[in-house]
Amino acid sequence: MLLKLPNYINGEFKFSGETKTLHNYKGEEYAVIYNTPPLELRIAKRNITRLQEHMRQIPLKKILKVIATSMKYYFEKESEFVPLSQLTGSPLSYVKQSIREMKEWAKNLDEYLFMCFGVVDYKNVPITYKDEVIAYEKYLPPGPVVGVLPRNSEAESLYLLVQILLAQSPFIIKPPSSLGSSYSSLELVKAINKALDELKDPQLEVMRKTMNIINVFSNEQTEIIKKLEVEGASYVVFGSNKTIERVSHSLEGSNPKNIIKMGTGLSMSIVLEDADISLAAREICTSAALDRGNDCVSTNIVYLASPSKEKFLAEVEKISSRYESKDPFLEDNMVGHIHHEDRDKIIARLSTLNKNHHLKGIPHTIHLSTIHLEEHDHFEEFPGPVLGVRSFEDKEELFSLLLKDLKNNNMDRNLVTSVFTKDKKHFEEISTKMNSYTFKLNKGSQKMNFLLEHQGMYLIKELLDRRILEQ
Amino acid sequence: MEKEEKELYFDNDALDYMDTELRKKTIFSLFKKQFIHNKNEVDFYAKLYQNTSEDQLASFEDCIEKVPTLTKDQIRNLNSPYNLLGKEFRKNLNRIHLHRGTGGTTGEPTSMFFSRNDWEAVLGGMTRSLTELRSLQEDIVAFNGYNQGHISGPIFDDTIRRIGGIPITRNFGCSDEQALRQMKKHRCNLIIAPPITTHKGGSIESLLDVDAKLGLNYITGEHVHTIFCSSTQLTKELFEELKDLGIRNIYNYYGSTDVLPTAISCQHNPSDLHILFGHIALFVINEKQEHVKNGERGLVVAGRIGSYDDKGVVIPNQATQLLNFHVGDEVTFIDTPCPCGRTTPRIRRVKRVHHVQDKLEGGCEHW
Repeated sequence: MLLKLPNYINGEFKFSGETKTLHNYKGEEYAVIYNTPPLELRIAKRNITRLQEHMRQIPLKKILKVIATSMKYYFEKESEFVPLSQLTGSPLSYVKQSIREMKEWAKNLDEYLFMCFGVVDYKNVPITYKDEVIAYEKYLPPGPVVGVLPRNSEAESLYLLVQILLAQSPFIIKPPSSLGSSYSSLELVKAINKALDELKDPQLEVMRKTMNIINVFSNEQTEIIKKLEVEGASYVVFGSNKTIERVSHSLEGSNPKNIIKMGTGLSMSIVLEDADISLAAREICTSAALDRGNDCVSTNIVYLASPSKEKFLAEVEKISSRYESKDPFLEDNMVGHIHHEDRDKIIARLSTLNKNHHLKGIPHTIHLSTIHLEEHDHFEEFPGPVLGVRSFEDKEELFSLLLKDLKNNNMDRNLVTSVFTKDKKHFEEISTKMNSYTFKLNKGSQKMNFLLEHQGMYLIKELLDRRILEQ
Repeated sequence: MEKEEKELYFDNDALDYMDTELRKKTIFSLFKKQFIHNKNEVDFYAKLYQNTSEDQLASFEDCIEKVPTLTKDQIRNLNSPYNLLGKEFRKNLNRIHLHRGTGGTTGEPTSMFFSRNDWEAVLGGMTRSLTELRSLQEDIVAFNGYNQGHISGPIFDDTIRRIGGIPITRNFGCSDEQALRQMKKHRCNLIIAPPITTHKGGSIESLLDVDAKLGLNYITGEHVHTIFCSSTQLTKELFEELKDLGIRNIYNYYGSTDVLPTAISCQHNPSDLHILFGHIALFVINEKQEHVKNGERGLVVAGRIGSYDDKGVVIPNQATQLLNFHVGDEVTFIDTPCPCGRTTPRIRRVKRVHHVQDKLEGGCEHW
């Protein structure tokens, strides 16, 4: 029997609308996803405008309690992880680990709020000068939020939805309807409903209706945004700068309050001459290949100091068998299954660059593959375990290569740069001269600390409306 | 509105509640008079009915079984749009009160004319079922979203005037967002629009989309008590959505530019449409031109059979003559008793049928 993925609107799971069959990583029919009819979409939009005030009335500590309680019910059984691996091809071991980490974060959101604001209650954040409070920052709920999740994974769902709830805002979320799905978003909604059942607080009942999970059967971005459009809403959109430009243009008539861009990527790694090569190879291979190498934090390009290059590549070759794409349910496999669409895109794109002969695992799949790049070669983010390799003679050349890669990818900043060196001074220098949101020392770029800013911001802070109160 | 000294005949809902056999006799009488009028006054019908004598018409059933039907193609093939007018009107075109063309979606548009009194008879059909609106204690301010170039524009405007309200016409060329704001500004409490988008005007559905998008939440029971729609059948989902929004009254009219209105939704069961016998006659026929039985499907033929003279006395329809005209729909016919109390038969599950000629000939639709 196929897994059913309905919409969740107005406090109910809705199985109306046309359906689409989703296939698992083996190509077998696995799930049925339901499109949202126009009438249901209207109901969702009415909810998020009508229920704003109700959400604002709920004390923040109650919302924290709901979310923490819901984590008891969110992915509580082992079997509940399986659909994620089946649909996306993500390794099951990775799925379990990453969801457990996220759950831990969600159980302790007071700590997260403290990291964001310096206090838990963001309604009144003191601004002090010489130990005296001279003013307050006041953060207010933004109103309705519309979010569009990416198709490459479902990990972003909890991260986004929980922060919108923390911002005391009703929302409409459009999860992916191919590759990834609405599964984890719906699991969260179910968990929150169970938490509300447990807490039995009448004031919280409205939360059931403020969450709306909408499937839209279109991959065309402007069409999706036009369907979801709500006057004065804030939007959280995963995508490139170009995507955001298109989305902003589409929303011009509806006075969007805010368009928050998520999904900057092109993470990089730098291996300096004095690096621990064995550590660097291990960390970089993992960051390039973990979970199909398809995350925003996956390393896409490694820059090798010339003296380190040969040794590094030999080390990568030595350990490469650990980074083969295999069945996502194999216990020791960290790569998972590369979707045939992504595989074909990678092969096609690298063919145009005359680099496809570097690929391992073709034609059936792609294992971790190192692509040797000349200075003039353009390289970009690939939806797979593909690692571009550049070498440099000195730091001037390194910075020139780094900046050129950013520019060629229409970016001012990339997401993460990992630096492998034993001398912290090099790390400081690189982090001053290079444009990244986050720098990591001797750690893989894929390791995320949810208490820190992501992409240079705390999402909840971006969502909220900030005022200064001087008394 | 000035109170009529004497209620006009087709305004009286007695037609909808009377004994079935009595109504059949009434309609038969009107139909026969119309048949005679058409045969004598319109050359086209003189020719069409040359083999049909008035003496052959002895019952309600004879009206359909013995009187030839008429198709849109036949009208399109006429040399002049005035060929369906009686002699009197052809000589005095200035007596025509209103002209509108049909949409022309299935071919060249045809022209339909109404005398002032024909129009009054039509308004009787439009308004006599609106009992819930008559008992309202507030002014009716109706937003008419129909294109005024279509007959729905003026007919709904005059319907609203007839029940004592004021029609607010959708501003020319405005977007649905502007229309909604116009509606709100004028504090409209009744909306008239097609249920789903057609070329006739922005639909209820698109206005609801825009209302939800803008967060105005204007189309709710708090501001709007009634919706009028027509053109296509109102879906169950849209009906339920409107009811959930608190809209108290929803009237779905069935009819066409040629013959209107011919039926109106039942307040008890919104998917059923009660036939508005009186100024019109409507039959549902099989391929043998026999009236279908209860529960059977058939094609709709309708005609104009009633109007008034200048003193308000009922006479045959005056301007464009249509009898047993194929409107291009297939329906299910229901004549079991209805809990709403009306004794008029109903139609349901309206489906647009093109190439009526082929359908009747039972030809090879699917090779």
